[in-house]
Amino acid sequence: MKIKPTSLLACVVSGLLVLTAVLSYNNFTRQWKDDLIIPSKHVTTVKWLSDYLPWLKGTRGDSRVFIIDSGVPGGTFGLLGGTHPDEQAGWMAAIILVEKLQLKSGKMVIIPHANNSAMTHSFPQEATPQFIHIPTDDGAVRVFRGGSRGTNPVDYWPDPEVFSHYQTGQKLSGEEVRNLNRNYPGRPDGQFTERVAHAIFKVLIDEGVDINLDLHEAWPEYPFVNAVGADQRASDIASLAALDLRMEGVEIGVEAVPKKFRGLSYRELSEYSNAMGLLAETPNASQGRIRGITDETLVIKGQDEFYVTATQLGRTFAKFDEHGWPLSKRVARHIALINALARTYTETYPEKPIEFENMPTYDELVDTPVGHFLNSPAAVAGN
Amino acid sequence: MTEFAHDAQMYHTAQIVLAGMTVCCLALWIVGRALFKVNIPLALNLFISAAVGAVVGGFGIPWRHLIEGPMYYIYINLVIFTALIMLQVMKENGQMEAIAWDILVCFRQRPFFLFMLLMLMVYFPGMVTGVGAAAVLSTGVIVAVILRAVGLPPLETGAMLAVWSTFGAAAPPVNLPALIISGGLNMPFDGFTQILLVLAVPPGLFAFWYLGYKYFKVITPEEINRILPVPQRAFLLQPYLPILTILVIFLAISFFPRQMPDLVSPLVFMIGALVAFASGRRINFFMASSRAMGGRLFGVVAVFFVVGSVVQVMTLTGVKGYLVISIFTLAAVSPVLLYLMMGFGIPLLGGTITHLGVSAVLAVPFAFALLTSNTIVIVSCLAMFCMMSQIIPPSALGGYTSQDVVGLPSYTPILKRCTVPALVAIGWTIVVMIFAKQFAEIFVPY
Repeated sequence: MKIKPTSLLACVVSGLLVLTAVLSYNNFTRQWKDDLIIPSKHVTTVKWLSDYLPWLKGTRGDSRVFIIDSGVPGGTFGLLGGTHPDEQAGWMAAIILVEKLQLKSGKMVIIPHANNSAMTHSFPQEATPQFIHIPTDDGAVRVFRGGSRGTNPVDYWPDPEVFSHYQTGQKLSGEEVRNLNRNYPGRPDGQFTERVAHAIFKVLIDEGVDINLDLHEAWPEYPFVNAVGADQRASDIASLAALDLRMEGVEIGVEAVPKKFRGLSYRELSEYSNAMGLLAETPNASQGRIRGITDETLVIKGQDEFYVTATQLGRTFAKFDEHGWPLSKRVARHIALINALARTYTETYPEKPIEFENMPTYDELVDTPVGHFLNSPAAVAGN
Repeated sequence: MTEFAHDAQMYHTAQIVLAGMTVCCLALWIVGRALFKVNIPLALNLFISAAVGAVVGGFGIPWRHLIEGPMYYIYINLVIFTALIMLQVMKENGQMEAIAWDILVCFRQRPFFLFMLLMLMVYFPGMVTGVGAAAVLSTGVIVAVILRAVGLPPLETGAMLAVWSTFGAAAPPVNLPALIISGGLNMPFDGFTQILLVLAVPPGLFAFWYLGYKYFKVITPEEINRILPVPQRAFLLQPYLPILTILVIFLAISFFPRQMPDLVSPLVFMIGALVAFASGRRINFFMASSRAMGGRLFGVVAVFFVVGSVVQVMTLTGVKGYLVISIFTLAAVSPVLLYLMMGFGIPLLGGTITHLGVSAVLAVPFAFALLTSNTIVIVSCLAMFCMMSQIIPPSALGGYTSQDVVGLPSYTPILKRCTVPALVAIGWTIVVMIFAKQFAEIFVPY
């Protein structure tokens, strides 16, 4: 059957497209609304990225910056979650700290949704859940957006065929133009994602961040997983923290910054600011190519029989068994790493301490659903 | 919504969905043939089959996924449309014929150079768009006229166009599967140029030797003037202005990324179309644009969109993972099977979900399985396997368009003539893959 481009066909196709757009508008724009984050009383200031780069004001790229200042002089720890929003343990760990963390000394600067625009849509063909529902202890349900790996095309489109990193000319796949973690250090007048990257870079400069950790997750079949990447200046701290964690029974590798790969947070932010750069990865089956059914259950429970088989075939770098890698375990690893890094940083630079109080241990976190560590909307008024 | 088990039950769910999709696809095809004596358009067939597969698997009608998946292909479809508008304008305003006339006059007695030039003409649109069908529908049309003029039968002409356009789409600078796979591996798309040429050019040379060389006959100037009108032009390069314009813009974007804003391909092609419109014989621009988008191209674009729906439903339901784990299981039996699965499994699946779909579904996991070798070479080889999908039915984007251009009633004879060049390309790619480290030492800059 040959289709001829008649006026009638054009009208029918156009009509169908308009109807589809109208019917699906609400479904897709639901993700544009910011997630509820209920900061603890220890959060001293809530700023926005637009406070550091005014151009972002009113855009989907604007995002909250939570500052917890102990009032006791010390070092400043920067924490990025949601660089890739489909790596849920990253932003979940950051949100838990915003809602629970207490500091004895030093300062913490947390951006749970580093690429907020990427929180507002799902990546085509990935079928990832649009929302994640987490019950809290009192039975309330906190709803978080699932998000995507890159900036929403509504904010930047089309991608070039080949993306060239502005500062170095490194060439990457075109869609990486919307990947925050390929755009550092960014530019104040660059394309959308470069501007977000620049705003984060400004946060690090203006808030005097000494050590910065970018929380990620990776496919179980990806070689850089269950590991912390560190720039040259942070390698000692990272190695000590990894040793600490191994003593607690948490196996974690330490990786150096890839020499030829540019635009990464832990490389560029470290090179262009005073902050030591680090990046952490936990295994997330809901991202991998081998995964089975893609839904909220996979994100939260992290169990996948296909990955069990893949491990048996030697195809994964993160070992998978029937228990999988639940969200609680992945968040536990991130928070345990943050704790260990702060501890080793304080030991290495005692004149700039960063000390936490009442931080849950790895064992407590790993055995408890993440909802336990979140504030209930009913218990706390407003955001 | 049902909560699905993520244990061994997933195998059954995936099998049910896959069976549902396959049965529906075949049933629609049979019903179309039996009741209406037509092939139901592939895009429509795949779209319905994807939805039916999800329903029988217990996922309901996955509206969001059916709509969201195609969004991935909006841009590439725009590239195809705009490139073809430019080339259609060039065709209708006589510039294409002028270029063909020049080539025939200059090279009518030198078959090697003639074929090389024709090969470059077919390669070029694929090189800049990453889609073989774009080459067939643009420069392919005029190359077909030249090939027929120098003695090639329609069958060989169609086969030549199909394989050249397929290999051309694999050549640098834009190789879409390589971009997708390298993106999946979190690696830069850098250092691919030479190795992609090593993979894409030799099979093209083989194809012209195998399919075309023996038929070549020297054509007289009188015969040329009978086939093609003598070009009317104000100056020598007039017919070449649109191509030179886009070439200059693309080169400026590539070599001066800081000074030259990336105008993105659709805009560059539209500039080329306007230059063509202004520099050739007067034609109706809008009617030419309309004709560019009609016919087979409309179906090609529709298939691209629907592949997005199919891949997303396959991902949702676990079919994608099931296919990957099945291949890994088979490959575990022997490394030979691994290479065979890549060389044949990728093109065959790509025949259904296109070269872009199969890049995301199968090629990325294969790349992970071979990370111990040189990654740039491995990604390039996998991209080449993906490209071969363009001649494999039911999608056969490059193949069907070639059939249209030469006007044969069936694609099957063309596919048969493509078999040897395709096998040579696959064999060559496997050789490069096995000796990836050695090839990398010579053809990968780092």
